[in-house]
Amino acid sequence: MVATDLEPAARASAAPARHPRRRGHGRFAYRVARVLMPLAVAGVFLLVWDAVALTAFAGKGYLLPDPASVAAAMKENIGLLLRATWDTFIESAEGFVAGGAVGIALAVAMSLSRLVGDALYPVAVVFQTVPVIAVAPILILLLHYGRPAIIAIVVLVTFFPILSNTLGGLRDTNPNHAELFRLYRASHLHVLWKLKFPQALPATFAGFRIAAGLAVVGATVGEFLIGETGGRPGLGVLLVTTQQELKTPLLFGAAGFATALAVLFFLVVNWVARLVLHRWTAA
Amino acid sequence: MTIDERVGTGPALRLESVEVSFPAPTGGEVAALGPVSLEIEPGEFVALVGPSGCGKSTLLRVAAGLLPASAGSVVADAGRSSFVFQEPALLPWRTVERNCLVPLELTRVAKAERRQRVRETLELVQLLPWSRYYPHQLSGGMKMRAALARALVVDAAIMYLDEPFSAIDELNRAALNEYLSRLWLGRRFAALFVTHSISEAAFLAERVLVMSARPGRIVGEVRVPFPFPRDSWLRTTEEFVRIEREVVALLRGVTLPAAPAGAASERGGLDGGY
Repeated sequence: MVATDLEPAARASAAPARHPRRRGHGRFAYRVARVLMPLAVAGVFLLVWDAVALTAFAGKGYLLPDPASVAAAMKENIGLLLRATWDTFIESAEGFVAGGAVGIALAVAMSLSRLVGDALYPVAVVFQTVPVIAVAPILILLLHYGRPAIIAIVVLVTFFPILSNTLGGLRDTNPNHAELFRLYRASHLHVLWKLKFPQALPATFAGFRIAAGLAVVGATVGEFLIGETGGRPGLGVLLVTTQQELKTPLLFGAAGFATALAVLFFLVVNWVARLVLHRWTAA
Repeated sequence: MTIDERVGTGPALRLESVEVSFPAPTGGEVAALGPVSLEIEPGEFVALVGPSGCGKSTLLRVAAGLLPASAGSVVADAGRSSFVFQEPALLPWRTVERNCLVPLELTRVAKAERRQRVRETLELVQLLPWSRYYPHQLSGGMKMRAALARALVVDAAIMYLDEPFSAIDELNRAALNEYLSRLWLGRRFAALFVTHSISEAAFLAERVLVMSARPGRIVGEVRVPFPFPRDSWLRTTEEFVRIEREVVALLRGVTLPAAPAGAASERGGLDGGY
Protein backbone atom coordinates (compact mmCIF):
# COMPACT_ATOMS: atom_id res chain seq x y z
CA MET A 1 0.00 0.00 0.00
CA VAL A 2 1.14 3.49 -0.73
CA ALA A 3 -0.22 6.11 1.58
CA THR A 4 -0.83 8.69 -1.11
CA ASP A 5 -3.39 6.32 -2.58
CA LEU A 6 -5.11 6.17 0.75
CA GLU A 7 -7.83 8.61 -0.13
CA PRO A 8 -7.82 9.57 -3.76
CA ALA A 9 -11.10 11.40 -3.25
CA ALA A 10 -9.56 13.68 -0.68
CA ARG A 11 -7.00 14.93 -3.14
CA ALA A 12 -9.71 16.02 -5.52
CA SER A 13 -11.98 17.51 -2.89
CA ALA A 14 -9.38 19.23 -0.74
CA ALA A 15 -8.48 21.96 -3.20
CA PRO A 16 -12.00 23.12 -4.07
CA ALA A 17 -12.71 23.32 -0.34
CA ARG A 18 -10.81 26.59 -0.40
CA HIS A 19 -13.41 28.06 -2.72
CA PRO A 20 -16.64 26.60 -1.49
CA ARG A 21 -18.74 28.97 -3.63
CA ARG A 22 -20.68 26.96 -6.11
CA ARG A 23 -21.49 28.41 -9.46
CA GLY A 24 -24.59 27.75 -11.50
CA HIS A 25 -27.65 29.39 -12.93
CA GLY A 26 -29.96 28.54 -10.01
CA ARG A 27 -27.42 29.81 -7.55
CA PHE A 28 -27.10 33.12 -9.40
CA ALA A 29 -30.86 33.63 -9.61
CA TYR A 30 -31.09 32.99 -5.89
CA ARG A 31 -28.44 35.59 -5.13
CA VAL A 32 -30.18 38.19 -7.28
CA ALA A 33 -33.46 37.41 -5.53
CA ARG A 34 -31.79 37.81 -2.17
CA VAL A 35 -30.84 41.36 -3.06
CA LEU A 36 -34.02 42.29 -4.92
CA MET A 37 -36.56 41.04 -2.40
CA PRO A 38 -35.55 43.31 0.51
CA LEU A 39 -35.33 46.24 -1.93
CA ALA A 40 -38.87 45.50 -3.10
CA VAL A 41 -40.10 45.42 0.49
CA ALA A 42 -38.36 48.73 1.19
CA GLY A 43 -39.97 50.22 -1.94
CA VAL A 44 -43.44 49.13 -0.84
CA PHE A 45 -42.77 50.60 2.60
CA LEU A 46 -41.78 53.96 1.08
CA LEU A 47 -44.88 54.02 -1.12
CA VAL A 48 -47.18 53.32 1.84
CA TRP A 49 -45.39 55.93 3.94
CA ASP A 50 -45.69 58.48 1.14
CA ALA A 51 -49.40 57.76 0.66
CA VAL A 52 -50.18 58.01 4.38
CA ALA A 53 -48.14 61.21 4.82
CA LEU A 54 -49.83 62.91 1.87
CA THR A 55 -53.40 61.91 2.81
CA ALA A 56 -53.99 61.33 6.54
CA PHE A 57 -51.20 63.73 7.53
CA ALA A 58 -51.71 66.28 4.76
CA GLY A 59 -50.59 69.68 6.04
CA LYS A 60 -49.17 68.08 9.20
CA GLY A 61 -45.62 67.51 7.99
CA TYR A 62 -44.35 68.31 11.49
CA LEU A 63 -45.98 65.04 12.65
CA LEU A 64 -45.29 62.74 9.71
CA PRO A 65 -43.30 64.27 6.85
CA ASP A 66 -43.40 62.59 3.44
CA PRO A 67 -40.23 60.86 2.17
CA ALA A 68 -39.45 63.64 -0.29
CA SER A 69 -39.30 66.34 2.38
CA VAL A 70 -37.17 64.07 4.60
CA ALA A 71 -34.79 63.62 1.68
CA ALA A 72 -34.76 67.39 1.07
CA ALA A 73 -33.99 68.07 4.75
CA MET A 74 -31.20 65.54 4.67
CA LYS A 75 -29.71 67.08 1.56
CA GLU A 76 -29.95 70.58 3.01
CA ASN A 77 -28.29 69.57 6.30
CA ILE A 78 -25.90 66.94 4.98
CA GLY A 79 -22.85 68.61 6.55
CA LEU A 80 -24.48 68.76 9.96
CA LEU A 81 -25.70 65.15 9.72
CA LEU A 82 -22.32 63.80 8.61
CA ARG A 83 -20.48 65.65 11.38
CA ALA A 84 -22.97 64.41 13.95
CA THR A 85 -22.71 60.85 12.61
CA TRP A 86 -18.92 61.03 12.75
CA ASP A 87 -18.97 62.23 16.37
CA THR A 88 -21.40 59.52 17.37
CA PHE A 89 -19.29 56.96 15.51
CA ILE A 90 -16.12 58.00 17.34
CA GLU A 91 -17.88 57.73 20.71
CA SER A 92 -19.33 54.35 19.76
CA ALA A 93 -15.96 53.08 18.58
CA GLU A 94 -14.09 54.29 21.65
CA GLY A 95 -16.70 52.82 23.95
CA PHE A 96 -16.74 49.59 21.93
CA VAL A 97 -12.98 49.18 22.19
CA ALA A 98 -12.97 50.01 25.91
CA GLY A 99 -15.97 47.74 26.53
CA GLY A 100 -14.24 44.97 24.59
CA ALA A 101 -11.08 45.39 26.66
CA VAL A 102 -13.05 45.34 29.92
CA GLY A 103 -15.12 42.33 28.77
CA ILE A 104 -12.12 40.29 27.63
CA ALA A 105 -10.02 41.16 30.69
CA LEU A 106 -12.86 40.16 33.03
CA ALA A 107 -13.48 36.98 31.06
CA VAL A 108 -9.82 35.96 31.35
CA ALA A 109 -9.78 36.68 35.08
CA MET A 110 -13.00 34.75 35.56
CA SER A 111 -11.82 31.78 33.49
CA LEU A 112 -8.56 31.47 35.45
CA SER A 113 -10.29 30.94 38.75
CA ARG A 114 -13.68 29.42 39.41
CA LEU A 115 -13.88 31.51 42.59
CA VAL A 116 -13.33 34.80 40.75
CA GLY A 117 -15.82 33.66 38.12
CA ASP A 118 -18.50 32.82 40.63
CA ALA A 119 -17.87 36.07 42.49
CA LEU A 120 -17.95 38.39 39.49
CA TYR A 121 -20.60 36.89 37.25
CA PRO A 122 -23.66 38.04 39.24
CA VAL A 123 -22.14 41.51 39.56
CA ALA A 124 -21.60 41.64 35.79
CA VAL A 125 -25.19 40.53 35.19
CA VAL A 126 -26.48 43.26 37.50
CA PHE A 127 -24.37 45.89 35.74
CA GLN A 128 -25.74 44.68 32.44
CA THR A 129 -29.37 44.65 33.53
CA VAL A 130 -29.52 48.06 35.20
CA PRO A 131 -31.33 50.38 32.74
CA VAL A 132 -29.03 52.94 31.16
CA ILE A 133 -31.53 55.65 32.06
CA ALA A 134 -31.08 54.74 35.72
CA VAL A 135 -27.29 54.73 35.65
CA ALA A 136 -26.81 57.80 33.49
CA PRO A 137 -27.56 60.39 36.21
CA ILE A 138 -25.00 58.68 38.47
CA LEU A 139 -22.42 58.57 35.70
CA ILE A 140 -23.06 62.23 34.94
CA LEU A 141 -22.50 63.11 38.59
CA LEU A 142 -19.28 61.13 38.64
CA LEU A 143 -17.92 62.10 35.23
CA HIS A 144 -19.70 65.40 34.59
CA TYR A 145 -21.58 66.29 31.44
CA GLY A 146 -19.20 65.27 28.71
CA ARG A 147 -17.74 62.65 26.46
CA PRO A 148 -16.32 60.44 29.24
CA ALA A 149 -19.85 59.90 30.57
CA ILE A 150 -21.13 59.02 27.09
CA ILE A 151 -18.28 56.56 26.57
CA ALA A 152 -18.91 55.06 30.01
CA ILE A 153 -22.49 54.38 28.94
CA VAL A 154 -21.27 52.67 25.77
CA VAL A 155 -18.87 50.54 27.85
CA LEU A 156 -21.75 49.62 30.12
CA VAL A 157 -23.92 48.33 27.29
CA THR A 158 -21.15 46.62 25.29
CA PHE A 159 -18.97 44.83 27.85
CA PHE A 160 -21.42 42.14 28.89
CA PRO A 161 -22.08 40.35 25.60
CA ILE A 162 -18.32 40.33 24.98
CA LEU A 163 -17.61 39.10 28.51
CA SER A 164 -20.15 36.31 28.55
CA ASN A 165 -19.34 35.04 25.05
CA THR A 166 -15.58 35.15 25.64
CA LEU A 167 -15.94 33.43 29.00
CA GLY A 168 -17.96 30.65 27.40
CA GLY A 169 -15.32 30.29 24.70
CA LEU A 170 -12.43 30.23 27.17
CA ARG A 171 -14.08 27.56 29.30
CA ASP A 172 -15.18 25.32 26.46
CA THR A 173 -11.88 23.47 26.06
CA ASN A 174 -11.76 20.21 24.13
CA PRO A 175 -10.55 17.70 26.77
CA ASN A 176 -8.09 16.17 24.31
CA HIS A 177 -6.58 19.57 23.57
CA ALA A 178 -6.17 20.13 27.30
CA GLU A 179 -4.46 16.74 27.65
CA LEU A 180 -2.19 17.48 24.71
CA PHE A 181 -0.98 20.65 26.42
CA ARG A 182 -0.62 18.85 29.74
CA LEU A 183 1.36 16.03 28.13
CA TYR A 184 4.01 18.48 26.96
CA ARG A 185 3.89 20.31 30.31
CA ALA A 186 2.75 23.60 28.82
CA SER A 187 3.03 26.67 31.04
CA HIS A 188 -0.12 28.53 32.07
CA LEU A 189 0.84 31.31 29.72
CA HIS A 190 1.18 28.89 26.81
CA VAL A 191 -2.19 27.32 27.60
CA LEU A 192 -3.79 30.76 27.64
CA TRP A 193 -2.03 32.10 24.58
CA LYS A 194 -1.85 29.06 22.32
CA LEU A 195 -5.03 27.26 23.36
CA LYS A 196 -7.62 29.31 25.23
CA PHE A 197 -7.45 32.56 23.28
CA PRO A 198 -7.66 31.10 19.78
CA GLN A 199 -10.28 28.63 20.92
CA ALA A 200 -12.43 31.47 22.32
CA LEU A 201 -12.03 33.70 19.26
CA PRO A 202 -15.22 32.71 17.41
CA ALA A 203 -17.25 33.25 20.59
CA THR A 204 -15.54 36.58 21.24
CA PHE A 205 -16.43 37.73 17.74
CA ALA A 206 -20.03 36.64 18.32
CA GLY A 207 -19.95 38.96 21.33
CA PHE A 208 -18.43 41.75 19.21
CA ARG A 209 -21.26 41.41 16.70
CA ILE A 210 -23.91 41.85 19.37
CA ALA A 211 -21.96 44.70 20.98
CA ALA A 212 -21.54 46.54 17.65
CA GLY A 213 -25.19 47.46 17.34
CA LEU A 214 -25.46 48.18 21.06
CA ALA A 215 -22.47 50.56 20.93
CA VAL A 216 -24.25 52.95 18.55
CA VAL A 217 -27.45 52.72 20.61
CA GLY A 218 -25.45 53.44 23.78
CA ALA A 219 -23.67 56.44 22.27
CA THR A 220 -26.91 57.88 20.91
CA VAL A 221 -28.73 57.40 24.22
CA GLY A 222 -25.75 58.91 26.04
CA GLU A 223 -25.84 62.01 23.86
CA PHE A 224 -29.59 62.14 24.22
CA LEU A 225 -29.25 62.29 28.00
CA ILE A 226 -26.08 64.30 28.35
CA GLY A 227 -26.47 66.74 25.51
CA GLU A 228 -23.94 68.61 23.47
CA THR A 229 -20.31 68.13 24.42
CA GLY A 230 -17.64 70.59 23.38
CA GLY A 231 -19.95 72.38 20.94
CA ARG A 232 -20.31 69.24 18.80
CA PRO A 233 -23.78 67.77 18.62
CA GLY A 234 -23.87 64.05 17.96
CA LEU A 235 -26.87 62.25 16.49
CA GLY A 236 -28.49 61.86 19.91
CA VAL A 237 -28.33 65.61 20.46
CA LEU A 238 -29.71 66.21 16.99
CA LEU A 239 -32.63 63.89 17.74
CA VAL A 240 -33.53 65.93 20.85
CA THR A 241 -33.16 69.40 19.34
CA THR A 242 -34.97 68.67 16.08
CA GLN A 243 -37.81 67.12 18.04
CA GLN A 244 -38.06 70.13 20.36
CA GLU A 245 -37.96 72.56 17.42
CA LEU A 246 -40.43 70.43 15.44
CA LYS A 247 -37.92 70.07 12.58
CA THR A 248 -39.49 66.69 12.00
CA PRO A 249 -38.05 65.99 8.50
CA LEU A 250 -34.54 66.48 9.91
CA LEU A 251 -35.47 64.36 12.95
CA PHE A 252 -36.34 61.55 10.54
CA GLY A 253 -33.09 62.17 8.72
CA ALA A 254 -31.08 61.93 11.94
CA ALA A 255 -32.88 58.71 12.87
CA GLY A 256 -32.03 57.34 9.44
CA PHE A 257 -28.36 58.22 9.87
CA ALA A 258 -28.29 56.63 13.34
CA THR A 259 -29.73 53.43 11.89
CA ALA A 260 -27.28 53.47 8.99
CA LEU A 261 -24.40 53.99 11.40
CA ALA A 262 -25.44 51.02 13.55
CA VAL A 263 -25.80 48.79 10.49
CA LEU A 264 -22.45 49.93 9.12
CA PHE A 265 -20.74 49.35 12.45
CA PHE A 266 -22.18 45.84 12.58
CA LEU A 267 -21.11 45.11 9.00
CA VAL A 268 -17.54 46.24 9.64
CA VAL A 269 -17.26 44.05 12.74
CA ASN A 270 -18.82 41.18 10.85
CA TRP A 271 -16.37 41.65 7.99
CA VAL A 272 -13.38 41.66 10.34
CA ALA A 273 -14.72 38.50 12.03
CA ARG A 274 -14.99 36.73 8.70
CA LEU A 275 -11.55 37.92 7.69
CA VAL A 276 -10.03 36.46 10.85
CA LEU A 277 -12.06 33.28 11.13
CA HIS A 278 -12.98 32.16 7.63
CA ARG A 279 -9.82 30.19 6.96
CA TRP A 280 -10.20 27.76 9.79
CA THR A 281 -13.94 27.45 10.10
CA ALA A 282 -15.74 25.33 7.55
CA ALA A 283 -18.73 27.65 7.30
CA MET B 1 2.10 7.05 43.65
CA THR B 2 5.53 7.68 42.32
CA ILE B 3 6.67 8.57 38.87
CA ASP B 4 10.31 7.80 38.55
CA GLU B 5 11.95 9.08 35.42
CA ARG B 6 15.38 7.88 34.62
CA VAL B 7 17.74 7.64 31.78
CA GLY B 8 19.07 4.23 31.03
CA THR B 9 18.40 0.86 29.66
CA GLY B 10 15.32 -0.08 31.66
CA PRO B 11 11.89 -0.74 30.19
CA ALA B 12 10.13 2.08 28.32
CA LEU B 13 7.27 1.72 30.76
CA ARG B 14 6.66 -0.26 33.92
CA LEU B 15 3.44 -0.24 35.89
CA GLU B 16 3.45 -1.98 39.26
CA SER B 17 0.13 -2.77 40.94
CA VAL B 18 -1.39 0.42 39.60
CA GLU B 19 -4.91 1.11 40.78
CA VAL B 20 -7.27 3.95 39.97
CA SER B 21 -10.47 4.71 41.81
CA PHE B 22 -12.85 7.62 41.56
CA PRO B 23 -15.12 9.06 44.21
CA ALA B 24 -18.59 7.60 43.75
CA PRO B 25 -21.57 9.94 43.49
CA THR B 26 -23.16 8.14 46.45
CA GLY B 27 -20.03 8.49 48.58
CA GLY B 28 -17.14 6.10 48.89
CA GLU B 29 -14.92 5.04 46.03
CA VAL B 30 -15.45 3.20 42.78
CA ALA B 31 -12.57 1.09 41.56
CA ALA B 32 -11.97 1.89 37.88
CA LEU B 33 -8.76 0.05 37.23
CA GLY B 34 -6.45 -2.57 38.51
CA PRO B 35 -4.37 -3.55 40.16
CA VAL B 36 -2.42 -3.72 36.89
CA SER B 37 1.22 -4.54 36.37
CA LEU B 38 2.89 -4.48 33.00
CA GLU B 39 6.18 -3.79 31.35
CA ILE B 40 6.97 -2.53 27.87
CA GLU B 41 10.47 -2.82 26.47
CA PRO B 42 12.02 0.00 24.45
CA GLY B 43 10.79 -0.29 20.87
CA GLU B 44 8.14 -2.86 21.70
CA PHE B 45 4.62 -2.64 20.26
CA VAL B 46 1.96 -3.76 22.73
CA ALA B 47 -1.78 -3.72 22.11
CA LEU B 48 -4.40 -3.63 24.83
CA VAL B 49 -7.89 -5.00 24.23
CA GLY B 50 -10.80 -5.31 26.61
CA PRO B 51 -14.51 -4.75 26.98
CA SER B 52 -15.94 -1.23 26.92
CA GLY B 53 -15.50 0.70 30.11
CA CYS B 54 -12.85 -1.63 31.51
CA GLY B 55 -10.40 1.19 32.09
CA LYS B 56 -8.16 0.87 29.03
CA SER B 57 -8.16 4.62 28.43
CA THR B 58 -7.64 5.24 32.13
CA LEU B 59 -4.60 2.96 32.12
CA LEU B 60 -3.20 4.81 29.12
CA ARG B 61 -3.65 8.18 30.83
CA VAL B 62 -2.04 7.00 34.04
CA ALA B 63 0.94 5.68 32.10
CA ALA B 64 1.27 8.99 30.24
CA GLY B 65 1.10 10.95 33.48
CA LEU B 66 -2.19 12.62 32.54
CA LEU B 67 -4.03 11.01 35.43
CA PRO B 68 -2.70 10.17 38.88
CA ALA B 69 -2.81 6.57 40.06
CA SER B 70 -4.53 5.94 43.38
CA ALA B 71 -2.00 3.26 44.26
CA GLY B 72 1.04 1.55 42.76
CA SER B 73 3.95 2.97 40.83
CA VAL B 74 4.55 4.16 37.30
CA VAL B 75 8.07 4.03 35.98
CA ALA B 76 8.55 5.76 32.65
CA ASP B 77 11.62 6.22 30.51
CA ALA B 78 12.98 9.74 30.74
CA GLY B 79 12.48 10.16 27.02
CA ARG B 80 9.41 12.03 25.86
CA SER B 81 6.09 10.36 25.49
CA SER B 82 3.44 11.10 22.88
CA PHE B 83 -0.28 10.55 22.83
CA VAL B 84 -2.63 9.91 19.94
CA PHE B 85 -6.25 10.44 20.89
CA GLN B 86 -9.42 8.78 19.72
CA GLU B 87 -10.16 11.92 17.74
CA PRO B 88 -7.44 13.63 15.71
CA ALA B 89 -7.74 16.55 18.18
CA LEU B 90 -5.99 18.95 15.82
CA LEU B 91 -6.24 22.63 16.69
CA PRO B 92 -8.70 23.93 14.07
CA TRP B 93 -7.07 27.37 13.87
CA ARG B 94 -3.70 25.96 12.88
CA THR B 95 -2.65 24.46 9.57
CA VAL B 96 -1.36 20.89 9.47
CA GLU B 97 2.19 22.21 9.64
CA ARG B 98 1.52 24.52 12.56
CA ASN B 99 -0.36 21.76 14.39
CA CYS B 100 2.78 19.66 14.23
CA LEU B 101 4.73 22.59 15.63
CA VAL B 102 2.69 22.59 18.86
CA PRO B 103 4.71 19.94 20.76
CA LEU B 104 7.95 21.60 19.69
CA GLU B 105 6.78 25.03 20.80
CA LEU B 106 5.58 23.71 24.14
CA THR B 107 8.79 21.82 24.85
CA ARG B 108 10.83 24.80 23.70
CA VAL B 109 12.76 23.12 20.93
CA ALA B 110 15.04 25.64 19.23
CA LYS B 111 13.21 27.64 16.58
CA ALA B 112 15.65 26.85 13.81
CA GLU B 113 15.16 23.14 14.37
CA ARG B 114 11.36 23.18 14.48
CA ARG B 115 10.54 23.71 10.81
CA GLN B 116 13.02 21.10 9.71
CA ARG B 117 11.64 18.47 12.04
CA VAL B 118 8.06 19.19 11.04
CA ARG B 119 8.96 18.93 7.37
CA GLU B 120 10.68 15.60 7.90
CA THR B 121 7.76 14.22 9.85
CA LEU B 122 5.16 15.42 7.36
CA GLU B 123 7.22 13.85 4.64
CA LEU B 124 7.20 10.61 6.58
CA VAL B 125 3.39 10.55 6.85
CA GLN B 126 3.15 11.82 3.27
CA LEU B 127 1.27 14.96 4.16
CA LEU B 128 3.85 17.46 2.97
CA PRO B 129 1.68 18.69 0.08
CA TRP B 130 -1.09 19.40 2.59
CA SER B 131 1.01 21.20 5.17
CA ARG B 132 -0.73 24.53 4.54
CA TYR B 133 -4.24 23.10 4.80
CA TYR B 134 -6.52 23.58 7.78
CA PRO B 135 -7.95 20.48 9.50
CA HIS B 136 -11.50 21.10 8.23
CA GLN B 137 -10.19 20.79 4.68
CA LEU B 138 -8.88 17.25 5.22
CA SER B 139 -10.55 13.84 5.22
CA GLY B 140 -10.78 11.79 8.42
CA GLY B 141 -7.86 9.57 7.47
CA MET B 142 -5.65 12.52 6.60
CA LYS B 143 -6.49 14.22 9.89
CA MET B 144 -5.46 11.07 11.73
CA ARG B 145 -2.17 10.98 9.82
CA ALA B 146 -1.61 14.61 10.80
CA ALA B 147 -2.27 13.61 14.43
CA LEU B 148 0.28 10.80 14.05
CA ALA B 149 2.77 13.30 12.64
CA ARG B 150 2.21 15.58 15.60
CA ALA B 151 2.93 12.67 17.96
CA LEU B 152 6.02 11.62 15.97
CA VAL B 153 7.58 15.05 15.77
CA VAL B 154 8.96 14.95 19.33
CA ASP B 155 10.91 11.74 18.82
CA ALA B 156 9.12 10.04 21.69
CA ALA B 157 10.49 6.97 23.42
CA ILE B 158 6.97 5.73 23.96
CA MET B 159 3.74 6.49 22.17
CA TYR B 160 0.31 5.96 23.69
CA LEU B 161 -2.50 5.43 21.20
CA ASP B 162 -6.11 5.50 22.38
CA GLU B 163 -8.25 3.78 19.72
CA PRO B 164 -6.95 6.22 17.13
CA PHE B 165 -8.66 4.60 14.14
CA SER B 166 -12.01 3.73 15.69
CA ALA B 167 -13.88 6.44 13.76
CA ILE B 168 -12.41 5.41 10.41
CA ASP B 169 -14.11 3.06 7.97
CA GLU B 170 -12.86 -0.52 7.63
CA LEU B 171 -10.88 -0.09 4.40
CA ASN B 172 -9.04 3.04 5.41
CA ARG B 173 -8.52 1.55 8.81
CA ALA B 174 -6.69 -1.47 7.42
CA ALA B 175 -4.59 0.90 5.31
CA LEU B 176 -3.79 3.08 8.32
CA ASN B 177 -2.85 -0.02 10.34
CA GLU B 178 -0.26 -0.93 7.71
CA TYR B 179 0.83 2.64 7.67
CA LEU B 180 1.34 2.86 11.43
CA SER B 181 3.15 -0.48 11.41
CA ARG B 182 5.65 0.87 8.90
CA LEU B 183 6.13 4.10 10.80
CA TRP B 184 6.82 2.08 13.91
CA LEU B 185 9.26 -0.15 12.08
CA GLY B 186 11.12 2.93 10.85
CA ARG B 187 11.23 4.77 14.16
CA ARG B 188 11.12 1.94 16.70
CA PHE B 189 9.38 3.80 19.47
CA ALA B 190 7.69 1.73 22.18
CA ALA B 191 3.92 1.77 21.72
CA LEU B 192 0.91 1.02 23.86
CA PHE B 193 -2.09 0.76 21.56
CA VAL B 194 -5.62 0.56 22.97
CA THR B 195 -8.28 -0.85 20.66
CA HIS B 196 -11.62 -2.62 20.49
CA SER B 197 -10.61 -4.47 17.37
CA ILE B 198 -8.98 -7.85 17.87
CA SER B 199 -7.85 -7.90 14.27
CA GLU B 200 -6.18 -4.51 14.60
CA ALA B 201 -4.47 -5.53 17.84
CA ALA B 202 -3.14 -8.78 16.36
CA PHE B 203 -2.01 -7.07 13.18
CA LEU B 204 -0.04 -4.28 14.84
CA ALA B 205 1.34 -5.71 18.03
CA GLU B 206 4.09 -8.04 19.09
CA ARG B 207 2.10 -8.71 22.22
CA VAL B 208 -1.64 -8.39 22.89
CA LEU B 209 -2.74 -7.84 26.47
CA VAL B 210 -6.34 -8.69 27.35
CA MET B 211 -8.16 -6.81 30.08
CA SER B 212 -11.14 -7.83 32.19
CA ALA B 213 -14.27 -5.78 32.76
CA ARG B 214 -14.18 -2.92 35.25
CA PRO B 215 -12.15 -2.63 37.36
CA GLY B 216 -9.83 -3.71 34.56
CA ARG B 217 -7.06 -6.18 35.21
CA ILE B 218 -4.81 -7.90 32.74
CA VAL B 219 -6.14 -11.44 32.42
CA GLY B 220 -3.87 -12.75 29.73
CA GLU B 221 -1.34 -12.12 27.06
CA VAL B 222 -1.01 -13.40 23.50
CA ARG B 223 2.30 -13.18 21.69
CA VAL B 224 2.05 -12.43 17.98
CA PRO B 225 5.03 -14.08 16.31
CA PHE B 226 4.69 -12.75 12.73
CA PRO B 227 7.71 -10.92 11.33
CA PHE B 228 7.67 -7.29 10.23
CA PRO B 229 6.93 -5.59 7.91
CA ARG B 230 3.43 -7.03 7.94
CA ASP B 231 0.90 -6.34 5.23
CA SER B 232 -2.86 -6.73 5.03
CA TRP B 233 -2.63 -10.20 3.48
CA LEU B 234 -1.51 -11.43 6.85
CA ARG B 235 -5.05 -11.01 8.12
CA THR B 236 -6.31 -13.68 5.74
CA THR B 237 -3.91 -16.38 6.89
CA GLU B 238 -4.88 -19.26 9.15
CA GLU B 239 -2.11 -18.44 11.57
CA PHE B 240 -3.49 -14.96 12.01
CA VAL B 241 -6.99 -16.26 12.66
CA ARG B 242 -5.51 -18.64 15.23
CA ILE B 243 -3.99 -15.69 17.09
CA GLU B 244 -7.32 -13.87 16.96
CA ARG B 245 -8.99 -16.97 18.41
CA GLU B 246 -6.58 -16.98 21.32
CA VAL B 247 -7.49 -13.39 22.09
CA VAL B 248 -11.20 -14.16 21.73
CA ALA B 249 -10.85 -17.08 24.09
CA LEU B 250 -9.36 -14.79 26.71
CA LEU B 251 -12.00 -12.14 26.10
CA ARG B 252 -14.91 -14.56 26.34
CA GLY B 253 -14.11 -15.20 29.93
CA VAL B 254 -14.41 -11.51 30.74
CA THR B 255 -17.22 -10.17 28.56
CA LEU B 256 -20.92 -11.03 28.66
CA PRO B 257 -21.94 -14.51 29.78
CA ALA B 258 -22.44 -17.00 26.96
CA ALA B 259 -25.57 -16.47 24.88
CA PRO B 260 -28.41 -19.00 25.19
CA ALA B 261 -27.84 -22.05 23.01
CA GLY B 262 -30.45 -21.15 20.40
CA ALA B 263 -28.92 -17.74 19.76
CA ALA B 264 -25.41 -19.01 19.28
CA SER B 265 -25.61 -19.27 15.52
CA GLU B 266 -26.85 -15.70 15.25
CA ARG B 267 -23.96 -14.22 17.12
CA GLY B 268 -22.01 -14.27 13.93
CA GLY B 269 -18.99 -12.10 14.38
CA LEU B 270 -16.06 -11.77 16.66
CA ASP B 271 -15.29 -8.30 15.57
CA GLY B 272 -18.18 -7.31 13.38
CA GLY B 273 -16.85 -8.39 10.04
CA TYR B 274 -16.24 -12.12 9.99
